[in-house]
Amino acid sequence: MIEKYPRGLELLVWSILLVGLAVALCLICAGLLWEWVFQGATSGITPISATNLAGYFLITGAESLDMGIGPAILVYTGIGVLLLTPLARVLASFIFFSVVDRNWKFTSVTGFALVVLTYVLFIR
Amino acid sequence: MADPSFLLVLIISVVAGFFGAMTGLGGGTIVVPVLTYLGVDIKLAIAASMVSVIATSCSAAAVYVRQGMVNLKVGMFLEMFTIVGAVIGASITLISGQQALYIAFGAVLLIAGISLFIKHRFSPGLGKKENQDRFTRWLGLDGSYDDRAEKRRIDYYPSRAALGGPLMGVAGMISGLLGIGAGAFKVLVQDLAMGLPTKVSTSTSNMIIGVTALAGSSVYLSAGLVDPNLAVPVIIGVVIGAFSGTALLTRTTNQNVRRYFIVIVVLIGIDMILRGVP
Repeated sequence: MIEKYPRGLELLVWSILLVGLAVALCLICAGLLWEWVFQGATSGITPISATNLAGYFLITGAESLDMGIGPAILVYTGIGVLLLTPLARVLASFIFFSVVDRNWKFTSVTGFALVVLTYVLFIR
Repeated sequence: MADPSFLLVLIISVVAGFFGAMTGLGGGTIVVPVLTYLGVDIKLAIAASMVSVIATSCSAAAVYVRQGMVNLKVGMFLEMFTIVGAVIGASITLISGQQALYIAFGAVLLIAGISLFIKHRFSPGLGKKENQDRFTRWLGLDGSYDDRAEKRRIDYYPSRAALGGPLMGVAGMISGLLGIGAGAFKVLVQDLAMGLPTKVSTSTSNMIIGVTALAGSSVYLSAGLVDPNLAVPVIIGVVIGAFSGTALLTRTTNQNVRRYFIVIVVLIGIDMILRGVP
């Protein structure tokens, strides 16, 4: 039988995907419910201005500090968490292969993916 | 440009996610053309669909990883190519005209639909150890999984990783270009080019799709094409639909139902091409 990589990696990936998705959906739904209950509308969320992922989080953070937590901030944060979930999975895999498994081949493979995705964070 | 209501987009996305899961083509393949029928700009529809693909990928991949069906090393190796492809594809969309996107989308729908029919005729079988090339062996992509239907553990030996990588780059480009998971293409590459068992390639493809969609979404976000009023109902609807579709799929054995849906996809593809022709 073929020896698989340590089971820990599967558990790590599974946890990140599940938690990321659950948190994102909860935030988005909470934002929508808030808007429905208190404002009686569902299409009042201001469109996101053209910005990269890093800018998206800066704008969302600045708006939440400025105006406090509101339905739009929850929705924006939910979308942000959703976008970051695959990135978190790649980062965790990179750390796993480099620190736990000490597998330089897959440290390089996941490292490359991480570099491209980090570049994408700042793409304009 | 028309602005369909939240509820309408939500219902459409649930239906699209359901049929997408049933056919194996993914929700985006259906939600993008349907949104354009409602008057939504095709680039906005593609961007909203691209973000929703991350959600469906996370939910499906989590289940498959837990079951030990995903070959994480194969997935992580192929991701290198799909990420780059998605960034290129999404960048092409930004500079493309609407007509060209309609034709490209229609052509991809046609190819995906037809390939799903053809796939049943090609059965490359499991990758065998004696067929494995040096590069793939060096990468150490071998894997095994518990086949519940056959009630045994199956070992497999992927091959031709050097061919599979660039082909997955093309699949990633299609994904970024059209805001779809392009799962049908990714599965085909892993099946036919790398000799992975279909169950493994389907589940591994689901994991790859998420990262690919992130790369594409980032390009659309930076272009200001991600509208939360459109993206949010699409995300929620496609996830609900995909969950229901997958649950039903595991219980149904009627292949004709799936074939019927694929025919619809092919018809939508033809219609999209016709809409793109000046």
